[in-house]
Amino acid sequence: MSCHSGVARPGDAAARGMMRCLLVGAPNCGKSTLFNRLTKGKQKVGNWHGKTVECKEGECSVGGRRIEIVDLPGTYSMTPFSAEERAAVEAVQCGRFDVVLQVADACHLERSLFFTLALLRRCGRVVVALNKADEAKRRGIGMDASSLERAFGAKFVLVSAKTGEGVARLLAEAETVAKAGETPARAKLTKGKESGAKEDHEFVQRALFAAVKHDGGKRAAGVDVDRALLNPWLGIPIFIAVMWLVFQATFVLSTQATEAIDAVFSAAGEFAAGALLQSGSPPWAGSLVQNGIIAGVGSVLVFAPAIFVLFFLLHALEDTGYLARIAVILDGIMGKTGLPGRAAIPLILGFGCNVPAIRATRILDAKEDRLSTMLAVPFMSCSARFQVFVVFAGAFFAANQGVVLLFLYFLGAASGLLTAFAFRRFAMRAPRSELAVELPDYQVPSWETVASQALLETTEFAKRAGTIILACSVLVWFLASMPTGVEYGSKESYAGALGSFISPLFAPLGFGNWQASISLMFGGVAKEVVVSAMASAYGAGEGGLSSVLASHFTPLSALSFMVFVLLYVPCIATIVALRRESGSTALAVGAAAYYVLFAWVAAFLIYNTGLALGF
Amino acid sequence: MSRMLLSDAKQGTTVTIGKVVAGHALQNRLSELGIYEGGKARVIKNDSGPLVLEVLGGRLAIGRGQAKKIEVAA
Repeated sequence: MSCHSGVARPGDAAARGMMRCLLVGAPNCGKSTLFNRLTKGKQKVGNWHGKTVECKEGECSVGGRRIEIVDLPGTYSMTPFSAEERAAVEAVQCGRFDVVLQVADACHLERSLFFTLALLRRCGRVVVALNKADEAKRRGIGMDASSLERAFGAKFVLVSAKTGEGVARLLAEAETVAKAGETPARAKLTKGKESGAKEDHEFVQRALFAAVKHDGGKRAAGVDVDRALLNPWLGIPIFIAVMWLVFQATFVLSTQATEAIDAVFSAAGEFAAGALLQSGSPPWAGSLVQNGIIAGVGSVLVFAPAIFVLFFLLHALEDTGYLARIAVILDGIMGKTGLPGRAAIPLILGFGCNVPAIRATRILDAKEDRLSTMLAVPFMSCSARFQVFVVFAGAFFAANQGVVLLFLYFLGAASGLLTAFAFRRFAMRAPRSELAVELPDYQVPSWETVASQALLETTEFAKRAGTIILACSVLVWFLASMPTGVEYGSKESYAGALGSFISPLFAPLGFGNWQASISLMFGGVAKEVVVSAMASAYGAGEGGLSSVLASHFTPLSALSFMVFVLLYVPCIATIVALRRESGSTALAVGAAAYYVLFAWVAAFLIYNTGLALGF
Repeated sequence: MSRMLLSDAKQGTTVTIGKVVAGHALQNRLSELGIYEGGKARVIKNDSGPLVLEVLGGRLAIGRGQAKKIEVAA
């Protein structure tokens, strides 16, 4: 990590006469809520560490002076364990800022103050926001900020990010500290640098003893809730129920919006194509606009509702404190694969749609865990693949449809877990990271923050993934409709020629004809397209496809085809999401090649074993 | 006062942390989370899988392997 990348670019805030303020703090301390409060929801995503570590940036102003605020990844300490934590620690160490705002949880002050101590050893320009001051008061915790100030030699301000109380004073203090530069406190604390953890904890305890008074108010909620949620017998059923709700909400609630977007874009496409034709443009121009550009933009935006709903729910779950507990509940089950318990969430979401599922790997802390999980996600059979299975299983396995579908889902999940295990073990050579996490107090999420975070994720997806998906959509349009005059996606088009050319590759799998090849190529754009592309290649309507299929496939080659569809590249959007989340084009391209190869080998084994057994 | 490993501590008991037999990085990490020599921890859950502790007034989950590196006195 260099100080020249990411938020600390040369010629930035300082040069523009702005003050830069870093926001640091443990996860769950209310940092995001405070950030949201300070920036009034106006924020963008910046990158640390090349492209893999993100942090949010925003602006606010105090007394006419503008302040740039950088929300660094959550960290418990100045001893980094993950790439995110390292980015946060290095940002503080490289010193390109005016003031550091540490967000501390007033309800769990001791742990936060231990971090304050570590922070003050590295930098004197620190203001500590004692967040959740209102909640602490409710629990009967009284706090004397000036006593803490005397002990630590840094400014402490009581705030409530949720209500906005104290935030103005916090900004004013931050400005004062930024103007003053290094405080003398730093020297005093630096002397104790060699002292051990015990001395530090004693120092913090003495400071707390003088500054904090408990008057026996209400205990934190969660004491009994954990007994149920973390119970070995109840925990997993509850988790399944919660996941089912998230899954349903994500893919059912968003269906209407998705369908509306679909309808609007197909109507817009037809309208635009008609208008172009009337104005005397050549037919290909209309087709490009309709099938290439407008359909391409549409295929980006159809993901937006699901991503918004999903991230809204994930952030809400994280805020309530439940997400952290999932790690505990599933640690044993996921442990066999080498993945942490939380990895179950993106994997399960993959059964709905791989694209938001790959984005959901963000809930994992360690990079090795994120990478191996996101590589496994595309094997999870998404709802688009289901449409292909329904047609084929219906035509060839009418009596045993359920068994065939179950087999396919199971095969996909097993392939994914195997891939994750192998990747972690052999490519990353990462030992299984053991869990050591805080289980935050249960609380009601701050809906405003949750919504603004989900909105940020969604717009960022549309912006960054959109351009590549659009480009691919135009490329496919070009292949399917050129040379001029051919019917869209016919044997005479470039796509058809390509299909005929590659079809021998599929002969050992039992479906070496150009129609199957071309539908698989189109299926690379989106799996939903496989069926319709095949129908048009065979010159059959979608309804009449079943009877046509019977003359081109045997039940065995149909099974082989379904296995191939299950395992090969899910869709371009998935690969784009992989590249985006891993920050590596090589990894995304390599993964795509791996999926195709994996699918080929699996289909080959199934087809030839079947032949040998006499099917 | 009986000495044992944290992984063997009974659910519902409060223990005093002794030595943490681990590398410097893990020691530091655990210390920052509130597990340090001389500190106290209440064992909320210790059946299978990760342990759940109450330290510094908040809850913490740590892996069983780590708990085996922590000596405690009950």
